[in-house]
Amino acid sequence: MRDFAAHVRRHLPRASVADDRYEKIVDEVADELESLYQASIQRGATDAEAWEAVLAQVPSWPALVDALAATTPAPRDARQRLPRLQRWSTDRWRQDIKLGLRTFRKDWGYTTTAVLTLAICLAGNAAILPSVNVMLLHPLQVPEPERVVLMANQYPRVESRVGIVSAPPDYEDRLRYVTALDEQALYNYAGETIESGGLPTHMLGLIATPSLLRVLQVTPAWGRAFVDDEGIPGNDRRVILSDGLWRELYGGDPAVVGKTLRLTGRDFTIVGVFAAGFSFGGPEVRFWVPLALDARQRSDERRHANGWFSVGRLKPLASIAQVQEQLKALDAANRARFPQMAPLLASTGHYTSVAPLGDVLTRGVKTPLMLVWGAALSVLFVGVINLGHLALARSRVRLHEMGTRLAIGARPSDIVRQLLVEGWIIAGAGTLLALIASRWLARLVSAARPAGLPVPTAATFDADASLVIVVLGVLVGALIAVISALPLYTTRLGAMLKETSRSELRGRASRTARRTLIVAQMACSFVLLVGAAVLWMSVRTLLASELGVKIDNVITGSISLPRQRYSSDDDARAFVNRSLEAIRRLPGVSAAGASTIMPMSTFYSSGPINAEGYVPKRGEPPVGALRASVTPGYFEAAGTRLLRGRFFDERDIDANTRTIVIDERLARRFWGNSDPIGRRVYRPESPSDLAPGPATRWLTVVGVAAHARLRGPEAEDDVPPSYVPYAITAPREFGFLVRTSIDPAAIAGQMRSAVASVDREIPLSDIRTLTERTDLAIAARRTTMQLATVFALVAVLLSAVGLYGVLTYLVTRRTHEIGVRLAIGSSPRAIVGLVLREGLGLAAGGMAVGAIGVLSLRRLLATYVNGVSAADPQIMTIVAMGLASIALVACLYPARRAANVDAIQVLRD
Amino acid sequence: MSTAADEHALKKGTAELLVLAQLEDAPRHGYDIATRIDQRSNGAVSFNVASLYPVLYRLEAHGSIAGWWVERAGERRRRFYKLTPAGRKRLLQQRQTFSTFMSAVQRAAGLEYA
Repeated sequence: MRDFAAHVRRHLPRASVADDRYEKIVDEVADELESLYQASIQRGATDAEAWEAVLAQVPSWPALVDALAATTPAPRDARQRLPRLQRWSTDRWRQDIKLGLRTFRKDWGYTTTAVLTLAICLAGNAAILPSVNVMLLHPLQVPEPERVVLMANQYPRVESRVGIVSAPPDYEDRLRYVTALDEQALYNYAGETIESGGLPTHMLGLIATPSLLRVLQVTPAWGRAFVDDEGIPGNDRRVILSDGLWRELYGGDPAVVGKTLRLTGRDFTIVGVFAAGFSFGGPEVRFWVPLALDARQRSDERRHANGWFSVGRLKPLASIAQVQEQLKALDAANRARFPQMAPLLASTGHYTSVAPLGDVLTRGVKTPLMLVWGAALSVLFVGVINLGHLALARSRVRLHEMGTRLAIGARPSDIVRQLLVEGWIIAGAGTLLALIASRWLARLVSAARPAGLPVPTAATFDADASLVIVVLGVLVGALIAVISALPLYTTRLGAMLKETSRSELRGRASRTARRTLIVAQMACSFVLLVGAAVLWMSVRTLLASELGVKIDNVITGSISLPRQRYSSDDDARAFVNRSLEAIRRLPGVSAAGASTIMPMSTFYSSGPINAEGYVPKRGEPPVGALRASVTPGYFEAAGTRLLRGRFFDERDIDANTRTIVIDERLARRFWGNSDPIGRRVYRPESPSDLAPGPATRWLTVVGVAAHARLRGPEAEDDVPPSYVPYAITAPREFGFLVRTSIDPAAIAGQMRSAVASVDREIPLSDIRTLTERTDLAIAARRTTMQLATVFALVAVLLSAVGLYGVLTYLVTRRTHEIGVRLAIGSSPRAIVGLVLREGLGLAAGGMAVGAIGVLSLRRLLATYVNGVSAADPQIMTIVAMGLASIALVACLYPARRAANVDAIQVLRD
Repeated sequence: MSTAADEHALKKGTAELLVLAQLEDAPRHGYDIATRIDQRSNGAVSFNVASLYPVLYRLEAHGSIAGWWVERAGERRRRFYKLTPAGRKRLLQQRQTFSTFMSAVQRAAGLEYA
């Protein structure tokens, strides 16, 4: 009996197949051979003949060994026995990361491009998000902020700005009749002089009814809140310190409660200290004092003497609509109560508004912030498209590598994991760079912060915003991985191994997708560019607008005289005169004056003005005017032109002076083209004073000044100013304006000393040049414009890179077609035309879509720009031409490359 | 006239189809498969051990057929193979491809009327 198994073993080397299969194969083959042998014997063959037949079964053992080896799925068998956990162990990840880093070192061009693209796109968002978080999402850092509302008097027919203030009698009425509110409070900003480090310093605080802390549902960290008794005149010498002031003055000593602090020469008892994170009314607010309304402030004479923020907290089940209803009823009741005021109020369109306080605070900043945020998101979108193109292009180059790994036994999931690691390494580096860069960008953004808002400065770290950025980074990393992995699932292994650049994944669909994305990028860029251009034009229009004030070479500073030390008007007049004399003696000073309205500032007072003999038409609203008290020298310092008559001089420094200088618009309103000099006007001080009577204090017009936009270039409603001599009322809050023949900033120190030489305890605060003030007035707009421009340019650059990349890709894909075209007689020029048509066609398509986008965004933009239409055809044309030129540049290289295709080479391939 | 090289090429292209077809009605062992192919083709196509087993192992690795050892009292143990559902699908496909190919060859080579 022959040993068939031994025969097979002798010829089949053990190493040729895996151990566990070897015995099986030997068994089976031996079995087959034995069956054959037996069959031959049964048919009558001899042992030798049968053995001959057996040997014939395997003509070549080496060939069989090869054939068997080819059928061996050994690696797969081996790996499948690995426990699942081990395949996802940290070792594997570490290995993947190591491999990823090595890949990137080899391909640093791709890596740098991808990381920088992502960093640029995320940095913009990282810089904006903290502001969005605070200003749009959490403008009020108090419990249930949406239930805190602000009520205000509105006079839509005389004042186009939305009002935010009320008068004390309104507050008292609302306490009684607006029952939908739980708690109500009245507050305003207050400036006080506090000695810090031996220097009298002007500090901003809040003067509020004790109830404000209950409205906000906030309690001090140390000590106690104000009690209602402290809102009565005589009991109001109490103060709560901000955390910052507490540390500055007392080094954070908790025993400070009960101590006395001097505010502008008066003693206040410290009752509490706020927590470090608490801020209401802006970071400049350093202390709170109780508001104790006196009988005069509460009298009906003070109705519509608006100057206070009137806030309340909604009752648990109450709605804003209910408050609005009750305010409407209250307005109606008051019209019946004060019939003499009713026609006037009706002519102004008066009503009382109510809105969430957070909305009111963010009103001015919402649109620009949304615009800028939208721009940042668009840039991210454009950048991610580029990252997608990049990843796709790179994965095609790496097809061969992937194919090899698959062929030697890697599973697709292994490669996907590797790609994920690579995507996240890129995303991680990009995100980190973005977060670093955003700190720098945030400084630019914080310049746009509106007054009275807690806005993060560049120094604060917003964990929420950073988390959002990190999540965005992770998503982008995963997206890169998914796109890179696409060929794994759309290309056959054989194709991967055979040829890298030829194997097309879903050719037509992929090309269409790439084209669509380019159009989307171009559309985004177009919208952003038009937006930036419109903002730029709007800022330029503002800067070019005639302000009526010459802002160059003027330095300004504010003064607040304490009523206790300057109780008589004479003392105030003396202080002003002596200070101005001292300032005028400084070298380089050409003119100096004082005014209660600092040009380009948001603080001003206004009211009706009436002319002798002027009969308003029926229902005509009263004429409004800004009310400035100015000293001689003011107009010369401000550079406001005189049109008729004279400015104030030594004749107007007496308390009994009854002169006025009016704006040219007021003159035209009252007297048309006839001469207003010598005519009389008056400024009603209370609603009962509206019609002239025996008590009317007439003012004689001595001069007409050129129109001045004292509230800044942005003020869309030009309420014209009226100027009376400072001497008449001697107000205690005012500012100095000093025109110099030298650099105005150079005399700031001397100006401070000049004022100190008159009264050492009166600090000159808020010293700025008029140019700075003008810049500040449009800072938000300018920053919005600058950011929008930066984002638009980044988007354009990224789109150009994207267009370039896709065209190059398309040219490569069509090399064969181009070769054929050249071979059948097409000129290189025609080929260039072909590529340019493709590229510019995509750009044009993008711009067309973009134009539709601009038209649909027009309304949003229109709320924020003035002097220029948001869909200005001229701007759109210029932007389109600019973008087309950039697209053309991006097309040139791919076009040249196409024209240089070697037809013979291509056809031979 | 058929040469050895022709036959080799033909066999290579159709080996899988031939093996799968033998397993269509019942599970069989290797010797059985080879014998049946030989008989059914009247000896025109025959497999030896060297040509059959690589095909079997390849089909098994693809999951088209599944093999298992059968031991019966008094007999040597033998490895039987059966078609898996995937194998049945493969058989169907190969039959279709092959018949399309054959009719094309017939038309092209003018074999129809020969």
